[in-house]
Amino acid sequence: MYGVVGYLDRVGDGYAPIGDIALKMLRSLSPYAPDSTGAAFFVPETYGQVLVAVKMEGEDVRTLSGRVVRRVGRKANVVKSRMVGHALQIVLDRVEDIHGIVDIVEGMSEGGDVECFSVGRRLSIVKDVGSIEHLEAEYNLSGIRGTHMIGQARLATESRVDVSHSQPFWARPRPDMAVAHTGQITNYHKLRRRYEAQGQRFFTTNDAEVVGTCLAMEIEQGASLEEAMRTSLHLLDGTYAYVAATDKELGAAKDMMGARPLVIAETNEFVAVSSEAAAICEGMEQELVTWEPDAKEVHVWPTRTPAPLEAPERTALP
Amino acid sequence: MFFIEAVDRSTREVNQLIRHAIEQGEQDIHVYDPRGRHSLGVALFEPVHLIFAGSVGYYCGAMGDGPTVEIHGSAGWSTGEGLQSGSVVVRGNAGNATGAAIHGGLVCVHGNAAARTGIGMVGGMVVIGGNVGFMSGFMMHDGALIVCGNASERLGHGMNGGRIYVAGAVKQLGEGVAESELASDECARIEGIVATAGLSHARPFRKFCVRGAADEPRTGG
Repeated sequence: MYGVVGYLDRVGDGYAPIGDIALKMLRSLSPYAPDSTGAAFFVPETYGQVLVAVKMEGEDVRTLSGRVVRRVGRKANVVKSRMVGHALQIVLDRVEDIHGIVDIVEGMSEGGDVECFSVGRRLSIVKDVGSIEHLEAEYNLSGIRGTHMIGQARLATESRVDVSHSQPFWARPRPDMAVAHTGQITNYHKLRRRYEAQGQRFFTTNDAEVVGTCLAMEIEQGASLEEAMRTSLHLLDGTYAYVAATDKELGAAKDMMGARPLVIAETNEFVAVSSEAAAICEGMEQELVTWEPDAKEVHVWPTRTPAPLEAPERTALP
Repeated sequence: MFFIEAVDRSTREVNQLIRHAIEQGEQDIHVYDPRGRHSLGVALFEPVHLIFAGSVGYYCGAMGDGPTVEIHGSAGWSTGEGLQSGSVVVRGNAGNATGAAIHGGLVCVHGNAAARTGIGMVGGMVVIGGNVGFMSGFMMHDGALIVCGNASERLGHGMNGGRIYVAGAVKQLGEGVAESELASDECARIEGIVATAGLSHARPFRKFCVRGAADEPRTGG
């Protein structure tokens, strides 16, 4: 529960200040949502590299992070890795099978508590317990640039407060896709059992996690993001509004009753969505015309996809 | 005239300044850059003219008795909720539950209003220049909801009194709601109210009431 935000740049070259905008938008929600904060950023693809974030909580994270990096190193080339806040961020190249990387990391622990919470060539989820100011201090959000982002500030009502339960959620099992929601999914357990029977892993009891998997599973079966979102309104019971993003699109949806707030501001330069108009005005630092979609409405906006940076030609040494 | 710059002030500070200005006998109060703050200009019992230059959040002008509130921007949920008298006019769009449970006065939106517009109205008038969302007029008791554009699904669901006038298309009526005949003098009154509010409508108005209710033409307010 609490507020979601989303922003999509329509004119830039793929290096819009999405981190700074996320900071300002989430800052205006943070007084009501002290428990955790996060954002999913879509940054330009670099040399075909894959970005993975692994949760690092509990004792002896130093040993665990070392083991994770060594295990991953068997499947791909580790370009760099760093510990920041409660996350181990790894940059990989020469990745043949992204799912294989996730499996090898998450297969490490018997208790199932080693979790990749962000996986993709362009997706970088940054989330942690505490306020947006804490997130900025630990992760330097304001320096992040890219095409679009979604974010959430959380007031925990139904599940515990830790990094895993923070939003946005990576839409397992699909790389480069994330969701954040506000409200309640009342048939969460039923849906979760269905997806678990289909082999999906869940790491939390946060109902937002099932929204991501629901959309990802529809897309895996051939639906577009918009089609998946329309289907999801019939699959997900409850009162909610959510934002979803892939590397190519930003989407926003409202439940069957229109019972949760979501407003949109759209100009030639950008699209901004949030649970509150205040977050949009503060994020864009201007007064804007906002409007509220009706119940059952789904909106999807395409992003500009920046050309990926190609690795420089490796010439053989004489 | 009294001017308040809201951008670096908290909601409480802005509201205290409004109240302070009223106590000083100011009749015209302008608030700049409210940037979507909630609960601005609530519970005002004086016939003061309050203008917001920008967008406001939830409950703007709520529980008022007498003020004239104008919002030059968009408004959030429950704009003018529980209004007794006076008016709240939104020049942009409004969120859910606009004019919720008002007892009197006028809540007017020039743009579109979202779901459950005019929910639980007890009296007064809610006039919308554009479209209204899902379940508008939900559980209305009395008063008039006037919509110049289209209405979404379950219009007037569970209403037990009051009148709903729609000029555009109605997607679906709620439970226990039926279209009733709109007398020419009543129609003229509604058109007069709409014109006075500075709004226009492309098609003639149709009237919706509780199914089987005594069809007595009245004006709102």
